[in-house]
Amino acid sequence: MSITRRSVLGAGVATAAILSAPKIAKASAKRLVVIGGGAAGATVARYVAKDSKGDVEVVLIEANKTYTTCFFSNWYLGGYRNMDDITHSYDGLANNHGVKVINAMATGVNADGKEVILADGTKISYDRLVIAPGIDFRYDLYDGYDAAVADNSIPHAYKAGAQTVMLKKQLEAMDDGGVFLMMAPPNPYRCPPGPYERASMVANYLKNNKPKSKVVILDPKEKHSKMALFREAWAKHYDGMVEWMPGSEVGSMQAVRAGEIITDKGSFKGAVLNPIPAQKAGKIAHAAGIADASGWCPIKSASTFESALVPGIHVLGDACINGAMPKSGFSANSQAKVVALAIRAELTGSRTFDPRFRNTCWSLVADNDSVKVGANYKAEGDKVVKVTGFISSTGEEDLIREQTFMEAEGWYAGITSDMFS
Amino acid sequence: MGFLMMQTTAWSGDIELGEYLAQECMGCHQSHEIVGNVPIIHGLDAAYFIEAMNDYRDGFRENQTMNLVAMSLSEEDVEALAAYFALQQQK
Repeated sequence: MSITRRSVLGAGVATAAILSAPKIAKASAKRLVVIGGGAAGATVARYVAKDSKGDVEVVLIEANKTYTTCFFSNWYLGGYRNMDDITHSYDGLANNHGVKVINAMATGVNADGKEVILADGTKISYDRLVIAPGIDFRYDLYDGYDAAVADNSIPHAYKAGAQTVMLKKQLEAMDDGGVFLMMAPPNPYRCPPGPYERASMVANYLKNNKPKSKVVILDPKEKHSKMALFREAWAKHYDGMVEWMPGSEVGSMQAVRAGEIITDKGSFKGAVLNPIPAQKAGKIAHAAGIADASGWCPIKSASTFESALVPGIHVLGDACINGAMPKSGFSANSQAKVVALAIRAELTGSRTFDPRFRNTCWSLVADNDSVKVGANYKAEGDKVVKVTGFISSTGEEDLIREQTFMEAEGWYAGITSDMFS
Repeated sequence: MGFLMMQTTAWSGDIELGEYLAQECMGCHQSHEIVGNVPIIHGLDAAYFIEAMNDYRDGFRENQTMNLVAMSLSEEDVEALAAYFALQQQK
């Protein structure tokens, strides 16, 4: 089966006006197809649909009916949010902006023919294509750890969803005095402070419920994001409960067994395991030929995020190699707005502006205690470069930390509205 | 303050530039509700908006996120944003 531009238009929710004047529609409508409805994909779909006012038809291909944000999933583990709070539907995109949402898995791209191929063989033609596939995991590096083990018994929970719920249940079932054993991922990976915020939130839960327990972080790295701030928080709030061990002591993960993470330096035991694998761009990026040998996707321009390997395809969010921006939901949202503008300019001739990017990552370290790191960025050739930035200070007043906590709450509501409403 | 915010200042800022720059603001600020301590900036009086941004730029208002935002904006950018937000409605 082949979906032509006209048949997708016919199936669209907000295209009745266009259908009543099919000749105009055929002459003017350009189609953007977006693969992946996460932070990057949802934002680019929303902004192109909203701002092109019908001149660009936007089709979003996403395998799942809802999206659970990875950001704030640690808040769920800490008891500050439930899963419903961090799960969003695509109804806003469809109903408010006329995005045609197709719940299917994209399995391939025919770049020469400008078509996306879905799992059932359906082909969808495009004028521009955005691939925002997020991350996938390097299970090939490990013995005894794969998607089935992660889904069924030892969650990495590094895509928020059923594994996150499983991890929390395992914590709740753990005996007081047990060890929560995390293996942090090697660089580069999604959400640089994420593993350490998670350790903080698990410690927060254990402190209140199972105070004899411990959190042990095995880290293949020697340093990590917001290191001084996390150290300070662990000493201040969770005295002796959180232990971090660097790569020079623990090595890198080799295998996972029940109750045991095995590295090239030894074997480590825990009551609840949370091995976070090395990462790469999501599967469709590899099928589409936009990922290089590193497993990630190079871009030829930081103004458009067009793939360096396949013309006509933009790749953004966690999957891309952009230079200085971290892999975060905030970054993905920021990149998506720049790319939306570039795509509209390409398809409709709309006005362009110098690309500007921003990122801020808030981390909740304890009750009413959040820290943040942020920066401004600009495009230079094929790289995003940092202009200037900030980070919370150690020793800040409690009031500032509380304000940062409240700011994070506001940010979550704002950014998810900016993606999905 | 209430009086200031109700005034509509005619401003010469570039509305289209303001709309583009405002996309960054939407990552935190919503038009219909205050969550946490992130205020609604839609509908702010332009003169008030400019004063606030200058205060963030110069450090008279302290918030690392907003200080960084303000430092990254030119005078033309701030005027464009002010003009854009003054025209927006709270929802």
